[in-house]
Amino acid sequence: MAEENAQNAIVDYQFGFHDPETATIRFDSGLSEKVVRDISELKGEPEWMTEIRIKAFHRFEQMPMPKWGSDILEQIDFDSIIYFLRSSEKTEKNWDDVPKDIRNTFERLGIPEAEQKWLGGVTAQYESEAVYHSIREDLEAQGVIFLDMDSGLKQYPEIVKKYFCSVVPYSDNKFAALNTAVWSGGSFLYIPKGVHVEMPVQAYFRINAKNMGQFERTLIIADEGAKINYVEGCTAPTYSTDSLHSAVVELIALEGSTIRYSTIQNWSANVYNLVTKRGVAHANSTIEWVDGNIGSKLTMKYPAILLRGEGAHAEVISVAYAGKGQHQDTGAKVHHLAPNTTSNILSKSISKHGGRSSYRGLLQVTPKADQCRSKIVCDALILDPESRSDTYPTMEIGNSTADIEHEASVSKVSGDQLFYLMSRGHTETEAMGLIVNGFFEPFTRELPMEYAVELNRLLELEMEGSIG
Amino acid sequence: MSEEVLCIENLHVSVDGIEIIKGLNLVINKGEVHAIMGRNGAGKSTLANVIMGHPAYEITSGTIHYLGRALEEFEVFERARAGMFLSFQYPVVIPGVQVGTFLRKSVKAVRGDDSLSPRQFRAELREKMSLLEMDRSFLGRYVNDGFSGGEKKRLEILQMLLLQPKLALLDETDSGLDIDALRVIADGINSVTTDAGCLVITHYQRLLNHVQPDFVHVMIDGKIVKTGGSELAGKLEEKGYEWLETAA
Amino acid sequence: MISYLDIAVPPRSVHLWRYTPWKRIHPTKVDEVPTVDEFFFSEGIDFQSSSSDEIARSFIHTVSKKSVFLELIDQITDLNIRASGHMSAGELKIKSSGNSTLIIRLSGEPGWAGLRITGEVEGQLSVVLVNDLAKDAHLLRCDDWKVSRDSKLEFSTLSSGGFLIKSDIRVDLTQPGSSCTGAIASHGHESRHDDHHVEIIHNAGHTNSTLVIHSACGGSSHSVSTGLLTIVKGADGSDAGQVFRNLLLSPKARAEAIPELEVLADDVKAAHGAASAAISPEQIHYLCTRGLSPSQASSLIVEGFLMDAFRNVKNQKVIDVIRTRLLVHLECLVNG
Repeated sequence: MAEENAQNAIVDYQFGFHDPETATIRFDSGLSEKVVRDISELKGEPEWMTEIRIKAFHRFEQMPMPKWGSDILEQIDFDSIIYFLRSSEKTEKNWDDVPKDIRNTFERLGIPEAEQKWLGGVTAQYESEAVYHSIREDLEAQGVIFLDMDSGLKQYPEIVKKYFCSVVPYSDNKFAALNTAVWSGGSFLYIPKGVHVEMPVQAYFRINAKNMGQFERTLIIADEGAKINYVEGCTAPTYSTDSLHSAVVELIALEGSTIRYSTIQNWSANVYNLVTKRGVAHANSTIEWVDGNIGSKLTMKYPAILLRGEGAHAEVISVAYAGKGQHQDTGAKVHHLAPNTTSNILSKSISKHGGRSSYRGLLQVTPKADQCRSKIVCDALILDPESRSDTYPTMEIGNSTADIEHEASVSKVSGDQLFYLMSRGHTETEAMGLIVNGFFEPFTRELPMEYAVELNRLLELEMEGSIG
Repeated sequence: MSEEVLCIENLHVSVDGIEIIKGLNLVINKGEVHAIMGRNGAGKSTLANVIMGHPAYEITSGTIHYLGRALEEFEVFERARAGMFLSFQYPVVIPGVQVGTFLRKSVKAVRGDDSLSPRQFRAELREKMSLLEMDRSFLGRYVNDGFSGGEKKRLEILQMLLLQPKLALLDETDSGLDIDALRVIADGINSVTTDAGCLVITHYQRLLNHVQPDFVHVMIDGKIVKTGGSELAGKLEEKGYEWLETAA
Repeated sequence: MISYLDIAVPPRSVHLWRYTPWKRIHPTKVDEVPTVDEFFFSEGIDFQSSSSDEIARSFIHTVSKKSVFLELIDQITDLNIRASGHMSAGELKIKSSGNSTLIIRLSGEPGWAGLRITGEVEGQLSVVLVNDLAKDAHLLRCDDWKVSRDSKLEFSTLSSGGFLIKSDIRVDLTQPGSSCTGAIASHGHESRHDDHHVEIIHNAGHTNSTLVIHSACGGSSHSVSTGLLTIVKGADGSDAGQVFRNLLLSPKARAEAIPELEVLADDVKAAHGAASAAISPEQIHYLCTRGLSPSQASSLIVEGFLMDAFRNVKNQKVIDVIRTRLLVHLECLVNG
């Protein structure tokens, strides 16, 4: 059954190719305190980091699997996963120095080309660690720090120590504990006071090996008045056995700053994607999560924003596409902790071929947070009778001056819409693609142009053969 | 015979720190109908709202006297109970509150607890609703909820008739009405004008064909720039406001 | 049959038990089955009820000494239920056919009351429960309704009495053409805790449901509205909507809302909305221009807001009962 699913997925999934493994260090599968210590030792980390890892590991062992969300969670076999795999001895600054096979992979994914055209910096992570890393010189000159997380810890241990686990404590949930114990790679980004980084900075994550666990850790700090647009993309080959991607992302937006974090997650349908993303927004700052979930077997991800300072603003725009065998359990959490804070949440999902998409959200207004405003809109499209859509919103309002609105709707593509478009000369598939693109338009509008084009192309591919 | 109802002297009004009314004078006596005309944004609605005491408007200088008393210390509901009435340009929706309940409570508040028995109230209500050609089913509906533009304006005028004001402020009461509704509403207004001072705010002449004003004031940029008799309204309809704007 | 003590205490991660956990609504301790007095029912004949594997229902069944059965055939019935003694409970089974109306008034001064209702609806039934319990009473209420083919249930609740309320209402739309309209108005005053959970399951195609919960939250009250609309696979042509609104009246009041949707069929309409806001100053101003004082204005707005929960209820008799009870309740509060 799993094999058959994978075969089906291979047909649809254009990034399902894999390269020969080129591991220089490869841990045996399974997790123990020794594995955690070995990772830390291998990386030559300071003692405090090793200690956090060990504490987090014990916490992970104690915590039960979440009872909510999805039954598929119970299928994860933590013993079969490889927790660390090094495929290149160092992180290169020049694509020519990256091992040939890996370079080929990223070329097929179009990363070096995109970098030349429109990116301010790139990190490319292959398995557990970054293999390529660069940042434009002008940004470096302005004091912008953009490193892979391992180098960040080596070069700026004070900053990392101050903020690591400050937004997502390791005890937050089972997968945050797991990530903290075995994290490797990810991005470390610091934007100094008042610096506006106009070109997006990108990280690209690739899992290549079978049964691989990727546990990147990202920390972004925007100092007062700074501005950054960070983009990440993810793909993996299609195997019949499962891989685990469990990242933790922490954002710190200091006074008056803006962080936009965009994700296009396009993992193959054998990846569990269990990610904790959370940001703290100080006074008059803005955090925006732009989150697209197209791939994976199961995604559980609820980007969160703590509006801690007066006048802070949260924006979450997410789309999810759940096809055959997929469950996208996504949503948003916003905590209004300070007065005059505002938030907008827009969630759009499509379920097709028996897929399930769920919106799970929390909106909280604490008693001290006067004059908060929030608007939540969830729209779902169901494309066939086998598919499913759920909405699980929670609103906790503890302040009488709050103004909160939530609306949700579930609908299907109407026959009239299809007929209209077909009467204008489109095939049924094209018509469906147009409607789906239109449905996701409020999301794609927010993406950098190149990403929006890519997303539309992906969706059109997904739509092909969707008419049964 | 002239009994002063409203007296405004050198009025300046700001909203959010922006001055909208910039030195306005106006006296309205009992039995007089005054029309204020002007373009959108001239400050006409602001004038009506500030007389009624809307909290968003701040009087920065000048005075408003109503029946000889300075108004500023009076709360909105006290003004209403003292006989002031504002017909809203955009009446507010109050879900769940039936029109009948609302009217009874308002009449009780404004005209006093013992002014009329439930039977008298019902009789008066029936009479006035038929004057305005309103169906009885109005009473069971929620206040302004799902009302058409014409229905909202009819309900405003019905309230005016029931509350028997001494000063009636009518803010764009004619907007969005067809010709039949306009006639019905004008009849309603005419039935209160003998006992009240009346201020009609409009930017069309059409209502003034049915409600004969004693004075027409032209308002431009927060001030009254010209005052005349009812013939002035016709002149404005014909020539527009430019000739006054250049003069101002 | 599983006995109450064999049922595990539900975790708080289940949204039904999130804000009013089982141990808070149990009258003594969760592992105790206390002796309680029986309800007085003004109508109905005694019958033998059966238990349930759901904890609250099983508990009420276990402690109840009184179960009555009421058959309604094309009739309007007033049912008074009186809770007496320190703890009091009872079960009610309803079978209705034709076009029937049932007005339930729950009163008394118990410390704790448990009411379990099971009902089967053929034809049309409009049922209203007015909670008139004394102000320090705790109430646990569980309803289970089955609505048959082309039949309609209207259920209304005016929740203004008591101190700690947990109500769990489940409606099963079993066959094509079944429909239900649910309306709950809750007035949170002083430190009342009012928790309403409604589950509506669309088990067949062409079934319709609407659910409206309005909570006016004053004092240091805590209002909880949780719902779950499920449309099962194949229940095409169904239409489901739920709207939760909170009117926030006081800085210390709290309101939680979880309107959940699970849709497993594609040819359906499902929507939900929730809103929380303070009284609009424009509404207050409008009423003040009509001579009402600010406190009269806000009381009228609260009355309107609570009545507006019943906007989909078609049964005029039920509306009249609710309106009268609500006015009496609000007058009593204003006049102490």
